Amino acid sequence: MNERFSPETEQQALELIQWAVAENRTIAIRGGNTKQGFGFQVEADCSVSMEKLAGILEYHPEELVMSALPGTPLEQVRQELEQHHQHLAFEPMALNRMYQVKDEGTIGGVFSGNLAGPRRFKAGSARDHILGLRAINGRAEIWKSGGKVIKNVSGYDMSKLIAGSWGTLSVVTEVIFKVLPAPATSMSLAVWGLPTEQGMALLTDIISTPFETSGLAYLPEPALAAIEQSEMSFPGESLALIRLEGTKLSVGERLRSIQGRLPEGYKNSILDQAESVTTWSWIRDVTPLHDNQRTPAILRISIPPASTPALAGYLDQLHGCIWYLDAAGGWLWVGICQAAGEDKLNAIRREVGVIDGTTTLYRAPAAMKTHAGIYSFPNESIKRLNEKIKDSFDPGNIFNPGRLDHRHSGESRNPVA
Amino acid sequence: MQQLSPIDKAALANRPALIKQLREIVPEECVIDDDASLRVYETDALTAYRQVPMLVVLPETTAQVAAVLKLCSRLNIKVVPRGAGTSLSGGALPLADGIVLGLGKFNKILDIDFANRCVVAQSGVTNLAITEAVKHKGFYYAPDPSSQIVCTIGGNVSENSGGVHCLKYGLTTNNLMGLEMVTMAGEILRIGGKYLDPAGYDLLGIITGSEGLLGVITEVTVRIIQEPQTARAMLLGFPSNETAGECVARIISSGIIPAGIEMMDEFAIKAAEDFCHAGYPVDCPALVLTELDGPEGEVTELIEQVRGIAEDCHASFIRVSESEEERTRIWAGRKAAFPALGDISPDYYCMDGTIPRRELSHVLSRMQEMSEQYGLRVANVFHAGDGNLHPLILFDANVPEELEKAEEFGADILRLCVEVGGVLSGEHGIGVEKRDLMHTMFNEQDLQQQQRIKCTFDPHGRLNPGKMFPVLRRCAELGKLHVHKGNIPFPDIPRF
Repeated sequence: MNERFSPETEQQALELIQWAVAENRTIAIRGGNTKQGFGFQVEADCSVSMEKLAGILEYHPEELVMSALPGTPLEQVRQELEQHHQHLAFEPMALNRMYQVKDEGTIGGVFSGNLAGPRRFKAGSARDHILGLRAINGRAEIWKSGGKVIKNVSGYDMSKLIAGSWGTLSVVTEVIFKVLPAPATSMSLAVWGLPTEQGMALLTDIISTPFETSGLAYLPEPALAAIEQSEMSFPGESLALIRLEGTKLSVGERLRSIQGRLPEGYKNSILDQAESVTTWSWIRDVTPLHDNQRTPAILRISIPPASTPALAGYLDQLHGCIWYLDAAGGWLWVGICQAAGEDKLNAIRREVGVIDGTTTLYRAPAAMKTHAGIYSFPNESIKRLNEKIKDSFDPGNIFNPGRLDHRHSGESRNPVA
Repeated sequence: MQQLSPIDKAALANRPALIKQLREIVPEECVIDDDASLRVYETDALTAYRQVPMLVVLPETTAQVAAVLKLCSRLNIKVVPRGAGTSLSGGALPLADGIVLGLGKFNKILDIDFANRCVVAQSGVTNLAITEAVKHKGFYYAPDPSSQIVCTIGGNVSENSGGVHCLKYGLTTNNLMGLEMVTMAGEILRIGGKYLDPAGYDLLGIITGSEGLLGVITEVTVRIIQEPQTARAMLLGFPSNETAGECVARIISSGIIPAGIEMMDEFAIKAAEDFCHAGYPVDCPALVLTELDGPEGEVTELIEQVRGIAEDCHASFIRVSESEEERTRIWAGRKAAFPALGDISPDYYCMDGTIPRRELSHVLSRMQEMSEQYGLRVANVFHAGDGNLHPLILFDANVPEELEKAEEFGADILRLCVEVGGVLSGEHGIGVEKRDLMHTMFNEQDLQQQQRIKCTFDPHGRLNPGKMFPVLRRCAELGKLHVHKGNIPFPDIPRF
């Protein structure tokens, strides 16, 4: 990596990209430099950090809209929202501990990675909250999309493509997003010691009630034990966790109603706000799988919730995997142990393919990433369409070459005349 | 409104051969070619625009759709996809030299999957039919555009439809999980499914709201959710639009997201009350209707909070529904607002801009000035929670030039929406109606980036051309890379 730049204005960023296009240079785009663990390592001619293009531009709590420069630290956004009792409802996970870096990164990174959290099944992910943006494409042109209102169908919803593109389509210079009131109260019911089948059955039962849960997770013994070692001790070997949010009175009522539904002998406890917030942050941030020695590879599986128990059973038979369930059964987070890691990953992907779902490799040793790829595309047509979309924004493949597909790294890209 | 490209005479000359070949793909009666039957398809819900299509084809299977599109690609025939034809922006307006591809026969619900909380349906199934199919188990499909009895789910995806409940429960894009779509080249794509996160770039996101320009949707998978335990409506009357707007802002900044929150101005209130006697206070210049839903205890608490806020904002009238019947009655007036105005005026033109809510009183007073200037009355109903305005311009199409005047007035309203930081369309789409206003919101580079997406799906521009984009561009031209003069090094860019 030869040169490193840190533009302070959109105009500077534009000039930089004009230069890169003219000189046929590739660019590694950085925010807080905290999510480099995702995707393949980018080999580029220069690196552009957006961290100096920072600050909240507009915030209208009563309009539920905020706009910010991409380098704005997530923490700053969060603090500003908290002052008005609002939050990012999609609960973006912090990846810093997974990737063993200090900070949580920037708001640009949150949208670029389409992050989400345990509320995913209800509130969606970053892509559901992005309203608009300004960006520079790989032709060195500024373009914008969307608007500063929460309801808008004017033109294609281009912002959606940028959410989850990991800096491979454009350099974002402003992001506009929806913010929502934070719940007045957030508490959880913890049910301890249920074996997998019973734990999952309990969650399935709860989600079919009108109690409006906002988090449903199940951690079997190995996953819970992984947190226990580092954080605290628990009164049971596994944990089925049910989160309820809303006004204090209503949360209390619903907690009691759910407690009343529990079969006799189910050991349970109510987690107060502080305990609940902490426990859900472990689940959100994939804490049970952080240990790089134990589970160097981390895979997120999205499958139909009703298929989760069978897939969990399969994972147990494979041995050498630690898994837990989040997002009301919509996600299985899987940590793959070192030994025979690649074979296991391939086996899991085959199984998920049969069920019809997707897998995203969040962390893995370089060799494993190279062999397996970050995503599992359901078919060649979808993959080809992804490539065409990349080409429509960045025809010279100058942005983050190879980040999502190592075969498109700087070395193999086509020079642009 | 004009067709952007000249009539394709070769296509018209080829019509008999095309009919013959289409009838080899679909049953004979599924190709409509007689003038009287074609006329049925000449317009959608934007009735000011009419064009009889060259032909209408009603395929019955996805394979037939693929074959029809392949044939049209080969013969260079333009295609306009159509669901129920309820677009308010002319999204399904036919072309004289193109076929209409109707999805009316795609009317089956394929899979009701309560365990995975989703429904798989063919694209011609109506929005309401999905809720009807799952309500016996206490589920529903949340987006509820006002045309939900007739509009199709495939059309909802194409327009990213909203509805009264979208403030809390999201638009179509937030409730869509999977699609089957056929590209203009005849390739069948399956995107997403019964799971949360499809791989790669967000194809569902870009297709939703693309107004039938990227592909023909043949099947959808949508999320269904549990009905709330309770829903109660409130009717709040205010002495002015300002106080009503202030009340909406305060409700939301106090941390309450109602299931729906609507505003009506004096003209709309009176018209609705005269029409259906919903018990609206006709002496109030502004009305807020809101619904709170969720667990019973919580709704009771929130109702009291909203009452307190309304009182602080000088509400002169407060009614809370105590029964399901009363709740329905409160909404009846709002739902009847459009037909009520249709009753007092020969024609009306419904606009659809969105504004930041803080600009409401400015926008309403400017609109009043314009109303006087144009000599046309305007009533306002308004999705107040998200700033989506529906000004209804009253006119008489039989009076010479009055339609043109109404359209000009409407365009001025939309320009005003953009000027105050809002957008051209909140939920009706751009279509042909607002196509020529796209430049007020987007510059050439913005539009070109969008058109490059069009090129990735439909490089020859055969699918629904003339909608959304004010200028048709050749994909080869858009694909060129113009290299700017690169000045290096950058003395003024900090390095580290």
